[in-house]
Amino acid sequence: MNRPTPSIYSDLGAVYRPERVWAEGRAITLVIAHFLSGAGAGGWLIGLIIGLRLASLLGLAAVVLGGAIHLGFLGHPERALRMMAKPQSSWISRGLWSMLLFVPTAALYVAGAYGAWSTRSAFSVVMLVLSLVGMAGIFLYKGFVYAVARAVPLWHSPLLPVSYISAGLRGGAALALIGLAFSPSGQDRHAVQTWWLAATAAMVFLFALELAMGLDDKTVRRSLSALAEGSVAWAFFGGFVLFGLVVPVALVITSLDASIGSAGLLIAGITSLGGDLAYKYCMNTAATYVPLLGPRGIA
Amino acid sequence: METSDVHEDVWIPTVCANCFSFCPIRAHRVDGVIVKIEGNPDDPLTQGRICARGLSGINILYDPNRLNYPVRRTNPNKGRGIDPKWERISWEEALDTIAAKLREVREDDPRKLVASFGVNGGPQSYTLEAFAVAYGTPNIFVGGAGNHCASGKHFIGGLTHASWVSQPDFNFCNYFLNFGVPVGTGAYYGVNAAVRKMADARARGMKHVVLDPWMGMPAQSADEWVPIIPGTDAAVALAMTNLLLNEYRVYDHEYLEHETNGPYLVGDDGHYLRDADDKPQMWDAVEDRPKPYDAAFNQVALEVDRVVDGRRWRSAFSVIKEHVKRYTPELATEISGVPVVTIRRLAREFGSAARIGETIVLEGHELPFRPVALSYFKGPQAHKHSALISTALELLSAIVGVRSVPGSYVGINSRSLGHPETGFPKWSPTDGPDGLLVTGRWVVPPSQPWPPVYPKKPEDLGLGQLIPPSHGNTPMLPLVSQDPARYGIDYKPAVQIMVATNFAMSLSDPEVVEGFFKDIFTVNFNLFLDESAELSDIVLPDCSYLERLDVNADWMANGCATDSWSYPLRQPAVAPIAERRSASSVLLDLAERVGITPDINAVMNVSFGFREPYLLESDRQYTLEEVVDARYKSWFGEQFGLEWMRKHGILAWPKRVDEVYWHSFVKTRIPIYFEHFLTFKETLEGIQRETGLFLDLDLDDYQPYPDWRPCAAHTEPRPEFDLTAIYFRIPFQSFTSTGDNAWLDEVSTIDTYANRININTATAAKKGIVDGDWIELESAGTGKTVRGRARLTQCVHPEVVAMSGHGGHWARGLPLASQPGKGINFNRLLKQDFAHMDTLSLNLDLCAKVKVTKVGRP
Amino acid sequence: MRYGMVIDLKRCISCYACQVACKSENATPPGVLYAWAFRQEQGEYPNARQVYLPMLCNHCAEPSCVEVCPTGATHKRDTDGVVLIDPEKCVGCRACMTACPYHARYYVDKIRNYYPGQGLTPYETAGYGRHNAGTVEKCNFCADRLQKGQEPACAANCPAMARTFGDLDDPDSAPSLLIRREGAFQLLPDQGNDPSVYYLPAERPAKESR
Ligand code: SF4
Ligand code: SF4
Ligand code: SF4
Repeated sequence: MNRPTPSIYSDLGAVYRPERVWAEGRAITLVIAHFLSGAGAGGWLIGLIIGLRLASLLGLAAVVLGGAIHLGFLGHPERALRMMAKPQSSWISRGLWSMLLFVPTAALYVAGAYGAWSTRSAFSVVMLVLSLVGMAGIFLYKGFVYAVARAVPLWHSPLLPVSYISAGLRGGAALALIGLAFSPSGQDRHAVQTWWLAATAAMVFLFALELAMGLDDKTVRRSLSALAEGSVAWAFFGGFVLFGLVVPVALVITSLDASIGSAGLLIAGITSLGGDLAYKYCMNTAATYVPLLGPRGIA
Repeated sequence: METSDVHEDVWIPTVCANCFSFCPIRAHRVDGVIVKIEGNPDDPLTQGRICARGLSGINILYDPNRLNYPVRRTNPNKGRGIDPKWERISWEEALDTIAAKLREVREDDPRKLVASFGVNGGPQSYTLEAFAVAYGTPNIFVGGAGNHCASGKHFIGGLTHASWVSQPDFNFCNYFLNFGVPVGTGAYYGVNAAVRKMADARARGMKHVVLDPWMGMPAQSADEWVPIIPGTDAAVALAMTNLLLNEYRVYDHEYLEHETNGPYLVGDDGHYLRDADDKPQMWDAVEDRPKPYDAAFNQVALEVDRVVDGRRWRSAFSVIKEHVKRYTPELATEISGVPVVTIRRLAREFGSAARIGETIVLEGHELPFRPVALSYFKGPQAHKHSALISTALELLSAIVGVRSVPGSYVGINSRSLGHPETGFPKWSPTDGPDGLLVTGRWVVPPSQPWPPVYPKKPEDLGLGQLIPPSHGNTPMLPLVSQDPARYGIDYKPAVQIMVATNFAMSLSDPEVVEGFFKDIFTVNFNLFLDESAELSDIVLPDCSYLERLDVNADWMANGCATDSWSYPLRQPAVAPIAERRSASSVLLDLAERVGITPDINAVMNVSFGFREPYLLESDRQYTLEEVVDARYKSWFGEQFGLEWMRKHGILAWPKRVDEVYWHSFVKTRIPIYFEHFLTFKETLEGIQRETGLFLDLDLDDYQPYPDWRPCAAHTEPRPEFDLTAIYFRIPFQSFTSTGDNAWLDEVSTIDTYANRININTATAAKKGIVDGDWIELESAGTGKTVRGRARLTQCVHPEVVAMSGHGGHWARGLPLASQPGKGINFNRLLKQDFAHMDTLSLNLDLCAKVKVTKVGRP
Repeated sequence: MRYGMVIDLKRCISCYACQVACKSENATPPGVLYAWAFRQEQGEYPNARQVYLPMLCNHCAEPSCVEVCPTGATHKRDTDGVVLIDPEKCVGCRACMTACPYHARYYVDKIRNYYPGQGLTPYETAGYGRHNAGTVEKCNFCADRLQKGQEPACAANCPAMARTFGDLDDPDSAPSLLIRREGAFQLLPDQGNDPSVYYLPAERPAKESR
């Protein structure tokens, strides 16, 4: 029917008002976009470090795709470039600058890597450096976009940007796992696995630390209970914990010494990415604003 | 749309009609479209500030569900949920059909016409009333609202305050003991001025204490909320009276002695001991003998209890003082649930806040200063014993001298000394028979409170003649109409005209009311195809208040007891849309077609208060404009006719001290002892004997002093019916007339109480009900059920379920309002018979004992 | 100059007239409430009470919404401190909504009408031109009215005169005096937004009366 979602009406009087604009409805595009650009930046970096070109390429593609999907979230996608206007204060602005820096420079660097010109040429080096700057911006901005929301304690944590970087690295490692599955030689398998395990460990640790630090905040506890038993519990336990941690960890660990087939790598990568998407979704959906009225009434 | 060169941008002063407060507003019209409604800043009372309902009037005008042309029923079957199969007809055809029907019925027996109207219809109701009187029928009803009203309070208010309603004097009041009236909190009369003045008073330090089962508008913002079991306010008031009279000995001796009938001597039969000239007597303490009340006295004795010549002489005051002794605080606690300590504290606070003996000088007059008010309206008195409750609450006021004096509880518009330039309009309370107060102006003239109109065998279907204090109440209408002979009435109603009322829904159990519509040809002036329209035969598209001119949309002169007179004009802000026509002008037209123009002119001359030289001539058909012009000139003088009013919108001037505090300027006495109720009773007993009818009309309440008696809800024996259902008012809906207003509907969704059944959290827990559950209430009286979603709250008495009175529509013509979950039709719970009606005022008992069960869905 | 408002909760009668006055002034679509109000219960029967809070954009001195806006659509006007949104610049990214601790902002995905399936009313037709699908909207302190020298609609209409509007930079303005004398407070002061809307507590000692 031609009605707004009734949630706005019940939200007005809710003690703990759920954050919805980046969580519900079309906001799924935003979740996917943020997830993709993070993982993409990670993929770029790890691919470069371990020399797995396919991973870098996937990373670049993820960033591009993320940016495109992001447009779908905006009320006026045709105005997207206006978001470059305020890099001095807005992390979204900085993020957009970063992406716009990253995508062409990374693409040009990749073109060199695929033989268009030498990766050792000064031009390629400059492109590489610029792409790394853009990548760093992408890593950073995402966390800060959330962390600046002072009224949403689940997000407003100094650890959040760090944990989002670790999530990006984990996503990148997952892309590398996928890349590995399609790489003929399967070299650097150990490096990828190590990266993935390390990033996963870092992300879980930071997430746990962040929650632990937030525990004495009532609003954070409220968000946690949403994760643990509320509307997003399925995404948290089913998506993040089971799909995103248990399954790939099992696959990756059991195959550390043994050889794991392409299919296994592919599954580990995909489940890991799926889990990250679920994590991102949970972090957005469980967000709750600080109550307007204090425990003892107003003032 | 036509393009015009001239860009239009105007503000039209007019009057709101979303409730009976009738606030002055102005409508902003830009290129023919109303784009905003505001309060009219020229009004000294509302000062340009209006409520959410008034602001939303744009949606009444432009609601796509408005009826835009006359329709006729083609389906002969009538009933809830049955499609009337409307057929569009022309106005000409509609009026021809109606006029033919009316002529035919009138020839047969004019009493067969029933005229019913709603309070919000205001002036249109007056026109319909004039039409009905001219036609020759006694069957004139205030539909619905008249029932959910304060009949007892109005009547007792007329006897004691010379006014239809009263208000705390917010200018000076310091302590406001409020038995659940939303005065100053968004409803009642003169809504918006009262809100402002109440806020001023509270900022100044007035304490506001509210007794109410529900923390509604009054209690929410009050200084103290005292939860109370519904229908027990009288017990608390009587206990407080007892404490003040017999224990704390705090009462206004001076006042009671000189300005009430407290010293009148009464005998064992309860009647006055009259002298040979039939005058009530008082005891002269110096001469030690009774003398007629109007003789010269050395010293009037307030308390008298002695036996002379074997005859016991007691003063009315002594009788009352003795009588209230049985109302100990402990008893009141048992009845009301209000703790003894609270009752004692409230009595002390109330008594000392009254500052008995103090005076104040205003404009050179030294007047008693009683900065304490007690107010009650529908809530506490809409019970089985409405009149007794009203007298109990008035008594508590009276003993501390709270009667239209500075700081107290002041009659609204009791006295008018006229516009300073013209001296019009003029009325004043006077001294009447037995030395008692006669109101200066009474809004429903045939039932004026004093001198009394005595009961007689009724000819009207509402039994108004049998029970005069009921002034046009509707609850009897459906009952009597079902079987008039049972009530000694020798005809059946045949045709009905309805204006601005939806009493098929708003009266009581709709299934009983529905029966009334079955065999009566109903012509309905309506904005919508609402529940009543669905039971009607021809529905005519009325103009909303923004599209019409009205005779007297200022009937309350804007309903503020103090400060100012303010008479606004209701005029069209836009031309009527589509084929809408104003009921008033159509009725004048119909009068001509029926051949009663001379009669209606004669009636309007009286009912609208026309005077020379503006009296309507007998045989001319007047336009509505002419009638309105005559009204304004008659009331305010030649210079303030329609033309002047159109331009200025409002005629306002300050109220004088001798108007507001009239009591000190009119030498008369006010009853605290209602001797004539006994005479009513005797007359009624005579009618019962003579006719063998009305034997189920119990006359116990016809007694001269108050008592607390239980409602059916208090004596319900079945334990599963353990909660009492009540309804409350909200400041953003008015009963059945605003349900389809989309903005108000939105507010009602946001306010988490408005559309729900509110139940105490602890009570709900015991019943396994959680917030948001669908629950069903079954009425002990009617066996009928209603469903709604539970709202668990700490703000309601644990033995009560409370809901707003606005919801529960089902008409197809109100698509927004009739969705499930949009409030509850409370009236389904209300039983309609003498056992649930006050037999002194015909006020219906509006509390219902219910059983609550959890159900799965709507 | 810094426009601000003081809402006196002792005067307020919880009537929602401010919410509807705002709606009628600004012709906002369903679910878009520049001014709004809500209730919450505190305590237990019989000592329960209801807190009713009328809200609007606080036109914060340190507006977190402005900081996060990537386009500059949301900005604070230097002349009077009113926080505005330029509908031509807004891309609808909703960052400002997550940044506002007071929930003052609404995303208008499309402009709905109030009578579903029944078209626009003439009023809606006349008024909806002011709204822009795909952008974020909020209270602008009735900027058009301010320009005409009028108070915001909610304050001008409040039947209880609970809302006092004026310049907070002027120590003698009506709101400044109330803030100083009556113990006004801001919502969520820890957020650091420094709101320009203040509240006076519902329970506070009365002025001396006769
Ligand atoms: S109080 Fe009644 S008359 Fe006044 S604006 Fe509100 S609805 Fe209209
Ligand atoms: S209009 Fe005034 S009294 Fe009514 S809710 Fe708003 S602030 Fe309170
Ligand atoms: S209340 Fe919210 S929207 Fe308004 S200025 Fe402050 S942060 Fe911005």
